[in-house]
Amino acid sequence: MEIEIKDLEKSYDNFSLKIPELKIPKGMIVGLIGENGAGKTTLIKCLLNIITNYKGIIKIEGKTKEEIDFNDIGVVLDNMFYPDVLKVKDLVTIMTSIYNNFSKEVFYQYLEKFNLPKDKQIKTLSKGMKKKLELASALAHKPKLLILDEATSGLDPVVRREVLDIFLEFMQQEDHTILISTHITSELERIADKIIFMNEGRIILNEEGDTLIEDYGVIRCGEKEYKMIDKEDIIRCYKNKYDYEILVKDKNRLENKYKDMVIDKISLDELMVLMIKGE
Amino acid sequence: MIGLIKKDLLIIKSNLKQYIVICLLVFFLSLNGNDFAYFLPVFLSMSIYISTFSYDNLSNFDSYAISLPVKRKNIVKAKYLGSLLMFVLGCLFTLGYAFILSLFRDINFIEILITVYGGFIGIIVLEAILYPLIFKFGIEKGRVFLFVIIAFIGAIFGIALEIGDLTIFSKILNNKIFIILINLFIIGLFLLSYYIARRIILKKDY
Amino acid sequence: MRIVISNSSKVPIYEQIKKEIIRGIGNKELNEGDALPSIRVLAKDIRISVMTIKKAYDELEKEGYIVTQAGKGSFVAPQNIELLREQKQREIEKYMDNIIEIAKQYNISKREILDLMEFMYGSD
Repeated sequence: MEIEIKDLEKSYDNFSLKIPELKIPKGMIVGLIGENGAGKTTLIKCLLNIITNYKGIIKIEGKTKEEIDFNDIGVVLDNMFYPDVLKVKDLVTIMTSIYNNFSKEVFYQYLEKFNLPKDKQIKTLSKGMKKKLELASALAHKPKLLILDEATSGLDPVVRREVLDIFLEFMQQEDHTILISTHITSELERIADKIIFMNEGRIILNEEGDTLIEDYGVIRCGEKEYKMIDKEDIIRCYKNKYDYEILVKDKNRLENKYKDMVIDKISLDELMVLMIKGE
Repeated sequence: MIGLIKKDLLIIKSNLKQYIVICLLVFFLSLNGNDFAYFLPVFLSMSIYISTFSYDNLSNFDSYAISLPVKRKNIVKAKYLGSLLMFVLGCLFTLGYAFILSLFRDINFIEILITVYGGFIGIIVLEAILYPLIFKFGIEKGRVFLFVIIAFIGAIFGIALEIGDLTIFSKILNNKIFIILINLFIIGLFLLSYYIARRIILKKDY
Repeated sequence: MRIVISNSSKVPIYEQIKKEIIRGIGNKELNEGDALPSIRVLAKDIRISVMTIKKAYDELEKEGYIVTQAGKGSFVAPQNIELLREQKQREIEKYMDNIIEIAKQYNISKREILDLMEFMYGSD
């Protein structure tokens, strides 16, 4: 399911979100990264119409907000779920009546896979187990689009790996799409088809995943070398006590241009820091 | 929408034990001749349903619900219909329990019916005023409003009792047209409240 | 079949995938006509983005190692194994040039190089 955003604007007292254009094609895993408060959750809320008073147009699968069929959208949000006095098995009763395609079997399969107890109240579950339950609920009604806001935070690395594999399995269908906003960039690096980077309510980077890993790089050098670099080639620059860190793009071309300098591969974390802290 | 009503019923079910204890308590108290008890189940049904707003709010379910394939207007509808359902259950409970009580002593069923009807009017009016306020301002402030409204109504009744002539009530209750008018007014109020709440939710950002 | 990707290598991931598949073809793990895993399935199995794998497959096809049939998938193309071996031998020759150059620069004898080769290659 594809997402199209045009001229999206939403303002608050001390924060404003402004996205002139964003397209998320179907069949992609898209990572949404940025600091806390960058606007990721605001964007997701607008997508889901949880925030409904915004300027601009959002279309999912070509449908505007009044027409979007939420049966096809699976959602794991930050701190929003069914009332936690409910028992896990109560969710079956509820979701059967809410979703067209809710499958009890699939839900129970996930419960078993995640070792979630059917008869306990949601509030007795640990944070990680609750997240797993939210995931199971999102997947059990056979959505085509998964929108996940910090769906893996609070999960230990073993579980995160399991969840990642579930996402990859979900993506076996070509028209499925995942939009995941997260802090934990390490897994995203290899499997994201696209990375969208937000800061202060704006999108500051929107690149294919492997472009980021292969084309972008960091030059670490001293004052002397720094002066030799064309300003045009510098995307961001961060001055440490003893060296400069310079974010560049098009590594291959620059490696030929600046033959003596070492251009390192960059991780998403480093990219994030440089984009935000550098100038 | 049915799913949301089911959700509220399941929330209520999770507290069922407490409610049963309260009802039993009330039952035993009224064995001694305290008839106030008839009011209680009906009143309880209202406070039970209002508690579902609290539970929703705690888990931020009111926001989460928007991401479900449920129209915003149906989110409101579920609360109103669910409340009515709960009220009906409350009435049934009252009648049932009055019947059981009648096995122990003499019961004036007419009086019970009037009491229940009074409860009906009170609760419908209360919910009609309260629900849009809860939808607009949230359950925390809603509870304050609840208190204020009850105090207000109580004050009015208090003043009425002081200065008023109780015979007016008998005249009113014997006038059939008046009763029909009151019923229509109550229903109208409830519907108006529903439409107002709907409009509020349609435009709300969570 | 073996596909091992290193995150820390300077070699781009799609290149690594290519290399692994070419190696598989070279040492007969993959034979002419064998089906390659579909892009999506491979993406899931090695946990790499679909686009990266697509890039690897596209280049492999361009370079003649595989053929893709719409709707059916990708298959190992008829290989000129001899050609491949020759290519790899030329690669080795280049490495050897480097080795010999360094050895001469630092006065390391041919005997030492040969002994080193014995030691490192191990038994045949």
